[in-house]
Amino acid sequence: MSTPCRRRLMRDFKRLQNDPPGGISGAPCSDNIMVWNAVIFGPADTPFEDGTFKLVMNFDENYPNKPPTVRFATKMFHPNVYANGELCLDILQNRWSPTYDVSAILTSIQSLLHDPNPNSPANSEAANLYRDNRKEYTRRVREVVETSWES
Amino acid sequence: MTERKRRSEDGRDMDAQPPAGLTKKRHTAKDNEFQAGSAEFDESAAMLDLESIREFQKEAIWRQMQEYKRDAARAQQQATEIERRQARWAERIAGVCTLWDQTARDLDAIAGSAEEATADAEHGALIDVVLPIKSPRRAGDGEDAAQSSLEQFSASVGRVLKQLGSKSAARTGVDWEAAADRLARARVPQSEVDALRARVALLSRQLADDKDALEQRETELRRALKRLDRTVCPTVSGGGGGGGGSNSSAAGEVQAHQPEKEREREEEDGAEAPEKAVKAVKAEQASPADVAEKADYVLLAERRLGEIEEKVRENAQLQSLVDELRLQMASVPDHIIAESALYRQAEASRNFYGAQAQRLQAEVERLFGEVASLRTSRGEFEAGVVAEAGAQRQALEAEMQRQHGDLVRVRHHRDQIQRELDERRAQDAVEDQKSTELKLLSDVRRERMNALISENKRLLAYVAVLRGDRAAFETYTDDELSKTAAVADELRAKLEQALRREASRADPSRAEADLASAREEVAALQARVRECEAALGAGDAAGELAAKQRSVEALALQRDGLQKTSAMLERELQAVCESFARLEAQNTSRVWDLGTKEAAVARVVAEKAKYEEKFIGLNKDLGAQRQANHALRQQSAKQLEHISAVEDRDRALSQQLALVAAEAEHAAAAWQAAAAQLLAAQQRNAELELQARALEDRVRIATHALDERTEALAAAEHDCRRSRESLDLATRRITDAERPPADHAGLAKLCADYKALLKCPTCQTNFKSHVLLRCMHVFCKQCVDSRIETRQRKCPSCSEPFGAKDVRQIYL
Repeated sequence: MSTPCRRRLMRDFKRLQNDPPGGISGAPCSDNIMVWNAVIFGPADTPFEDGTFKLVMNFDENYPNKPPTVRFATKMFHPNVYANGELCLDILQNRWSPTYDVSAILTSIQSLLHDPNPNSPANSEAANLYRDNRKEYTRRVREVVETSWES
Repeated sequence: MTERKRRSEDGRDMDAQPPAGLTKKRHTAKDNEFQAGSAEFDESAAMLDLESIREFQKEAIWRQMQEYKRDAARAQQQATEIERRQARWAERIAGVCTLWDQTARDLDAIAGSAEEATADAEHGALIDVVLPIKSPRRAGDGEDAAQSSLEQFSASVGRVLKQLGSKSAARTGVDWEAAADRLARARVPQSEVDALRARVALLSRQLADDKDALEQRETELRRALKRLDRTVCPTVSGGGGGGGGSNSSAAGEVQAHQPEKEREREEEDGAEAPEKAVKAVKAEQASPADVAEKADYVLLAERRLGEIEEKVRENAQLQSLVDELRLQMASVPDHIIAESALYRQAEASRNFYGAQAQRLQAEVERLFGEVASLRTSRGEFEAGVVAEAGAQRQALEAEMQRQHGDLVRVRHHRDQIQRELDERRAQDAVEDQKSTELKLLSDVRRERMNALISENKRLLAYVAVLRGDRAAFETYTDDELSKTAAVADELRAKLEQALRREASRADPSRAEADLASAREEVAALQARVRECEAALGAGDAAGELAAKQRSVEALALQRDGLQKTSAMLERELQAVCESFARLEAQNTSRVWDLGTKEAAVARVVAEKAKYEEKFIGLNKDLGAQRQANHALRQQSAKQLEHISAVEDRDRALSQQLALVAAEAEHAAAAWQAAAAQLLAAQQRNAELELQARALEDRVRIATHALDERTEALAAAEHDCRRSRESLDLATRRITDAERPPADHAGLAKLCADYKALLKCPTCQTNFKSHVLLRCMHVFCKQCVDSRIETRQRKCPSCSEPFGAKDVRQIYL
């Protein structure tokens, strides 16, 4: 059962444990190393501050040659996050490189929260609000942050 | 001396600008100076005697006189120059006069062309204005004439201006219909107006030149006045001192300047400069001692001053008039031009609207005419239709009635014929009966006649028998045998016997035999007769014979009677036959008559059928006429609808017309409002431009300041960065110097880092089989193989594509 994929995932986990980046924590499921649960804390000085956003990462056997599928488990209001929680992030799609590991992915997502790209909107309402009405955008994000505490 | 002169000139220049206000100030300054001077004199009065003072004053006055002489010479120069200028001016005025003549002529021409048709009061007024301008123009060549002509010219120009103003007011007034007409008429000499404007501009330029000259002269006058003041004031103070030494020299000066004064009087307007010199002289003259003379001179000077001021005022008035004229002349053509451009537009639109309105009116009228004609034609048509229908109906009804009458008559006739026929038939039946009866009768008669004929024949036969054989007849008289055929046969046979006996008489034997037989027979007959006589009872044979004889005779009589009766009967029969034939002919004729009558009846019936058909056809015609009538009614209803539609259209057109008129009015109002708005906007624009210019200046200043400050800030920042870098360097050096020699944790971290470097960046586990790629990145063989297998032939680190041949093994 020891495939390169699993080995690599174990290595990623070890690295995440040893050298965790700020505001990120993640661990594989106890019964399946191919499914990970992660939590990103909203970066400071952003509307997402103090939010705790859960993510589910699904790896397949082609990892690290293929990117994992990452999905927000909590409700999210972000220009690049679909309604079902899936992400529109370039390094998870066409710009994936095998040199990225789990901590790199989570750090990228954390920075995406900080810096949305309204030019490729997955949530057009959020993108419009981000572009035109930043106050309302902030209000909606704060709502989402508050709901993230409850679940 | 030169310094003083310069100072005085400076003072003059300074004083030339503000005329009235500073003269007083200067007076006060001079008074102060003199007061100070007098105080000085008072102080030195104890030391210096009056003689020395007088000497000093004389010297001073002499110096001043020298100066005045120089001034006078200069003034003379100026006077000559001014004379020259006067001449030039007169020339110019003459040129202006000619120009004015020309313009007046042009104005005449324009006025004539413009106002020819109307010939209203304006024309006369204008001509009145223009004519007096012309007349004095030619009269004077001199200055007075020029002056008076100028005055008249200005007055006339003022009048012209007034009229022009009134005209323009009339033009800009509400009555733009008339204005358009006038404009249309005035537009014809547009080029002339342009020429006129050019001439007016030339005139105004010349006038401006003249004005400049006048102003120059005025300033000169002022300067002279100032000089006079300056000369008067010290002399007055000097007079107070009691000095009058330079009187004679002043008088000489007066004598020297006298001709100038005369000339100045001649020159009046132009030559103020000498005048002031004269005044200066006068004042100087007055200065030495003679107060009365001085007062006289002062009075004279004041009068002169008043005259000069009056002249100046006149000049200013003239100038203002000229300015006004120029303004008006400049504004009026502009106005006309603006008006013409706008008017052209407005007139075009007005013409367009007018043409449209006329067209619409014409169309409306045409439609009205059409409607009226349609109405009349409809009325006529309806009347014609009604009349036609009535006439047709009447004709049809009359025909119907006639046919009804015919029909009734025919029916009556038919009935009559029928009755007659019935009657005839009844008569025929009766006649038939009669004829049958007659037939029966004739049959009976025929039978009887036949019976009579047969009896007659029998009787004739009997007679013949009797004739043939009397004896036999005698013998057979009693025999009642003639009634039967057998008897006739017997008789015939007997007759033949008798005939044969006669024939046998020629033969005596036989005759004897026959005789004998006959005798025997006679005997037999006699015997029989006897027997019969005996049987009859013994009748008298003779009587019997006679009786028989009588009976024979009776019989013959009877036979004759019978013959007569038979002839009569035959005649009667013939008559009966004739009558019968006649009856039959009558009958046939009647039958024929009956046939003809029946044919007539049939014809009548056919005629009736024909009439009925005709009646039905007429009924159909009537229906068709009714339908036609209905169709005509519908047509008339349609025409009514059409007429109503036309009326609606007409109403709509009139509404449209009203709308168009309202629109035109609105457009005119809007045009005026827009013009006003434009003016306001232009003003505002100018204001805003001024503001913007001011703001731009301010902004420029502010940007300049900002740039300066930014530069200063950048320099400061640069300095700050420099100092910070140096600080960092220093702190680093300090920390380096302070830090203890390398600890274990740092070493371990370094070691881990190097170890991480030795691991494959893809799998981050094994680094045993090292493979080098084209981009010189190092991975493990497995990872590179999996990349090649999954056809992702790009470097995981830098995404540079690579091929299978680019992979090399390396040995560390």
